[in-house]
Amino acid sequence: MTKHEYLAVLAKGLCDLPAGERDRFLDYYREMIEDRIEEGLAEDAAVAAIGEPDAVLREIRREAAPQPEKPAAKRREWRTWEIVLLVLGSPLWLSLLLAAVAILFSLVVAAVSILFSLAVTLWSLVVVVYAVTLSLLVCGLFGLGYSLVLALAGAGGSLALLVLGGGLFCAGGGMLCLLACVAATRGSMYLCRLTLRGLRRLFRKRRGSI
Amino acid sequence: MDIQMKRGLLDICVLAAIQHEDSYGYQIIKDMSPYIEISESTLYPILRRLEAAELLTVRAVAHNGRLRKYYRITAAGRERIAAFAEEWKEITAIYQFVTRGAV
Repeated sequence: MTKHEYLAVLAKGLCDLPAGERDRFLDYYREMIEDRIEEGLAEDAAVAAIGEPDAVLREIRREAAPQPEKPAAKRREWRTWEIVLLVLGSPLWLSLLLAAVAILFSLVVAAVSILFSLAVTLWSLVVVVYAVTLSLLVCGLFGLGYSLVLALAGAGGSLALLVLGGGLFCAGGGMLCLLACVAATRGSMYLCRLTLRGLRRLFRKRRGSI
Repeated sequence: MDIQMKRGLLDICVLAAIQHEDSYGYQIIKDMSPYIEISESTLYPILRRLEAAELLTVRAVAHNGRLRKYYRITAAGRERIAAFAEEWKEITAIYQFVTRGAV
């Protein structure tokens, strides 16, 4: 039997083990076979020296049944010198700790205020769009009304026409801007919702990981 | 030899096989074979157990274009060997007691 065939039989026999565990076994037996070949044995002799795959598999099963229990990370006892060092060093590490906390806090405050100012800017832009729309519409209405007055009053026809044109232009612009208003409102609300959701997820994840 | 006794001795012998220099699986088996019989499949769980107990560490070293795992004893591993040597004095005393008059 060649090395590959042997290892394939082992792999098949261990297919229910976790992949990492199985690979460790295969690496181990591959190394054993290769070390024997390197020492001068023929490949089939090296494979035979390891033993029948069935026997090896049985052995692995017997040993693998009670998992090699990892000693549960046992609580370390504090040594006296560690406590002394901790107390003696407290002026140093306490102030460093306080500084670290302060820096962390100011970073959080800065992040929050940046987010807040971004939100305010966004919404003020939206308000500007609304104001422009409103003024355009008002101008349009006024222009239309005024041109009517001018025409009725019998003033110069060209002036009335000019005012009428201006009024129509403003009214048209205002209607277009109305569309922009809707879009801006929707977009801003979407962005805000996205940010809030992101923040909430961030906090939830952090709480989950602690 | 009693299985339980052999189990305990095998752990110590594996540690002893790497106490002077780092070694790899096949070399460990060869070094132990004059004293105590051990097969590849017996050695594997012992190595895992000793590693989990932090009595030895493992590292992969490139060798002839492949990786070979070398095992290195830790300070705790050396303490374990020293403790065994101490215990053995007690066992010798017990042996004396058990075989007293038998010879």
